[in-house]
Amino acid sequence: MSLSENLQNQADDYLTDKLSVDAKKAFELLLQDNQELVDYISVNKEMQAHYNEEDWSFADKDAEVEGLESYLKSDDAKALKASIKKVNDRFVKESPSNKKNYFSYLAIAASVVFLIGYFVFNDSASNLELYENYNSWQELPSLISRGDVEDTTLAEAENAFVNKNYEKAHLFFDAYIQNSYTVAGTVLLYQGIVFLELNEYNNALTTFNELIESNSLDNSKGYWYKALTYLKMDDTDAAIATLNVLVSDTSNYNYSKAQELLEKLRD
Amino acid sequence: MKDPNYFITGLKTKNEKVILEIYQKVFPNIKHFVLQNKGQQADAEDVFQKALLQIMTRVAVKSFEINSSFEAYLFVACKNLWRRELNKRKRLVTNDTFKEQGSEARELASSILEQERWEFFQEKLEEVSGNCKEILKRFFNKMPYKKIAEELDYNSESVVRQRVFKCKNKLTETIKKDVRFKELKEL
Repeated sequence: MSLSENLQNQADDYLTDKLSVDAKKAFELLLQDNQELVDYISVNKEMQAHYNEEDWSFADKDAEVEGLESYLKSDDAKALKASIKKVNDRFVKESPSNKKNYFSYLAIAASVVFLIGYFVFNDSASNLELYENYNSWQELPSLISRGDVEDTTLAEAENAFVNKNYEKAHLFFDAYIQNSYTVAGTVLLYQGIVFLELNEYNNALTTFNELIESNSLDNSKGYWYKALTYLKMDDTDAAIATLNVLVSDTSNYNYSKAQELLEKLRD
Repeated sequence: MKDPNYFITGLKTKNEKVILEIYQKVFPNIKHFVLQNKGQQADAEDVFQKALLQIMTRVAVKSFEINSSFEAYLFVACKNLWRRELNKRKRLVTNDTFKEQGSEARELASSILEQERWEFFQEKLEEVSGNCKEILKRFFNKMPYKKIAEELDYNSESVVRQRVFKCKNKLTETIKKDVRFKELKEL
């Protein structure tokens, strides 16, 4: 490097804005015909941004941005984004710093007591009656996340489902699943229930099994809805067997409800 | 320490259980960091999701690999994204002519190139001697020469000034010699 120490010091002062107005003007004149000095300034500016713990060096434009951008707009990236968002929301909601949880546990505990009472005094309900107690489907999470306006197929499917038009919902879910790279657990859940409502039991069981085997955080819901399917089929043994799997892990979906239902079925 | 590929594969296959594991391991630290640095819970969530997407985009487009622990890498990526966000806000406030913000995908794509450039510069700093590294870190964080002399046990400010001069030239040379410096120079 052939820049003198003096010139480098001036450049450093220039970069940190320590030069007087006149000295700054003089330095900028020097910059006009000294490429080496220009390079020095540019490297040092960048070093300053990268090595300072507060600054950041922004990229303005680059052909490479486009390649990265097109991946970020792909279906694969969108599916990943949706999965991360889902886990994020779940994690944040369940994190222990959220004080509301304590009260919701109390509420759950209270409703458990209530439900146990309910079943004790309602002896000998038939399988179908039991099924009717649980098939409101209001607990299903919405498929449409905020800000995601692109997926009209899913919106149509959910809409038909809510309006209990299961034939129509079935068509939309089918179309969605066939065109998707990965299918979220919640979509499988809806699709299984659509089969259940249409009395296509084998298809319902297959779909719930698919959900159970998936890597979705909701996979244990598959056991619950599979058990409901068996109830509707009036197959008590299979329903009990499925619920037994569910209650083997307290973190499974509807753990307490499953226990109550089991007691009831064993009567 | 789990193999970083365990997490990368989990993300690639959208395995929500693995993603949850990542949250359990790293998110509390990120949240703490962001809250300590002028941010809110929502900022921490945003940065965390973007960092994961950033890593996976690099894996998909540039066959990127993580050689350290996944957790440590993710933490640095989050820290940088938050620093970027703070600087962006500063620019928006102080500079009316700042170009209009791009789409989210474009912003994230730019942040990836910036992160790569940042990693390149860190790598180069690791190549100079330990003594130079310590002095330069302080210099670039605007620590006065006098304070540097005290902290690193130099006799006087002028000795520090000379060391900075030498070390900075050494670092500049190392950076310029690397072919990646020019490749990435478009930034």
